[in-house]
Amino acid sequence: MGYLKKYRTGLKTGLLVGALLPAGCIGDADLTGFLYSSAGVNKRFEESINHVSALSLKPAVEATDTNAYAFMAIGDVHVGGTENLGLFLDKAAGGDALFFAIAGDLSTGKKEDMLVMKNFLNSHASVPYYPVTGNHDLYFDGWPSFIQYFGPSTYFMTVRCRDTSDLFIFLDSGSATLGKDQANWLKNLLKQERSNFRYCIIVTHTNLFRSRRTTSTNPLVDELYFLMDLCIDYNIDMVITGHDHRHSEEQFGHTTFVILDALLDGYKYASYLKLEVSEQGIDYQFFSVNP
Amino acid sequence: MTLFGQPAVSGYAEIGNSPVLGTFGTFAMIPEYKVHGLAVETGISLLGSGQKETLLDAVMLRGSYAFSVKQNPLGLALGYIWKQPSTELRETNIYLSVDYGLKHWYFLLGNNFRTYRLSGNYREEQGFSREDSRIRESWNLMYRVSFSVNAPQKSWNLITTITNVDYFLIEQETNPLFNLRGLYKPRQDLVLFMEAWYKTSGMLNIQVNHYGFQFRFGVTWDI
Repeated sequence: MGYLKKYRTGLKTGLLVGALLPAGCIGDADLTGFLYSSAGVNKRFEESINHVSALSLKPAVEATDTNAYAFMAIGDVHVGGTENLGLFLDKAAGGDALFFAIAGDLSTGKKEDMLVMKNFLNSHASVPYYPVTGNHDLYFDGWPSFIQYFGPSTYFMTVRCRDTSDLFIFLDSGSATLGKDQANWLKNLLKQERSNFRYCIIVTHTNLFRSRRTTSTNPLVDELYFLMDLCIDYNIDMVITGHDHRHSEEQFGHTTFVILDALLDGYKYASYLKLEVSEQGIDYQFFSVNP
Repeated sequence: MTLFGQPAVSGYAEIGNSPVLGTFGTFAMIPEYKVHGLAVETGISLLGSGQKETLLDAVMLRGSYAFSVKQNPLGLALGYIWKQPSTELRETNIYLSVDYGLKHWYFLLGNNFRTYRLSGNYREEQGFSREDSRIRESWNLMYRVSFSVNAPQKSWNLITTITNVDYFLIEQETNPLFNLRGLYKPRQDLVLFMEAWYKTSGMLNIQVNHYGFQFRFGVTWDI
């Protein structure tokens, strides 16, 4: 028992930290998330698929005159601040984008910030938008507010063009895993429906590959294998993610993996992604919101 | 000079569960040859799961050199792991590591360089360029910190570990794994061990979620 005496100071420190953690938040970080989450990914998935607005192959957006259209994508807005979001929405309103995707971390997770985001989008967004949760949206027990204000975080929608349709799949990776139920749902959806669509684009929050070293984490490697293998087997055209805050692009076989810049206020590299979809493929370009 | 070395072999079987593999079973064999502080080990792992296309999971090769520093072993290692997650997908890791063992503590630090790539056959079949058939990640930190109840000489031990490294797997540096290992030496040349692994996702995103677990049973025999 001598070594227990030797490590007594360390044990006391550990117990003190453990006792403080449940009460802990530093700024916009909910430290309790190191130990537990109030809404795990399987629970969020179940609530998403049972949500009244979820899951139909009815086209959500129609580009009837042509087989080409544009859409945009943003991520990591972290409202609180709405300055960069406002700049982006001005661009979206003045352009030809049919809709935009929001790849997670819409807010800090605090209910009041989610409400700011919701009200701002209601008053400024002139085209439909399709969000998913990020890890920050789940802080401070944020999931009930997210699903109340923004709807489900696992769903799909389609864009119907003149002669063809494209499939957009939105996945909840706020916990850096799809979880068993969502992973099975994704696999079955692709198995049943992929061949009915021209392009398939997946939007989720947590980036798969570490193009640079950061302290934020990604899915475990066997989940990466699963996702990469699905991309190979079902010819996924593009996977759009956020989380890393700095854009990067990787081409792997048929699939383009894109990480968005954060749209966070005050961020030097804040940008949005504009994508042009046509019979020739999917072209894309990053546009800075900073002058 | 006469070479006088010690061959050994480790083998284990494990059963586990993860969201993407479901319930899976693994079997591995790791022969090793040690002489004068130098060691070479190689290994093969087979993984059976209803969700996995291939039975062969991974092979590895590791060379190491251990010497004494302040009467404790310091080891340097160079290793290579090749994995086959599916019929088209491959992953390779090359790593360098240093480890140091104390009476109750063990530390490992290293760096690995990970590449995902498409198999040669699939790449040629589909007409993809080499550039579009591989993803090289930024270098990754490897670590292991273990605490043992007993000193290594004892016939039994209980060891708790936090690490991102296993025999045939290196996780991202931001995904730590937790391990509890019990071992028993019925005689000097034989070690029986049992391990329980627990995995979480999202911990360093401050949004932790249960991920998976596995139970491993194995033996190491100095032949």
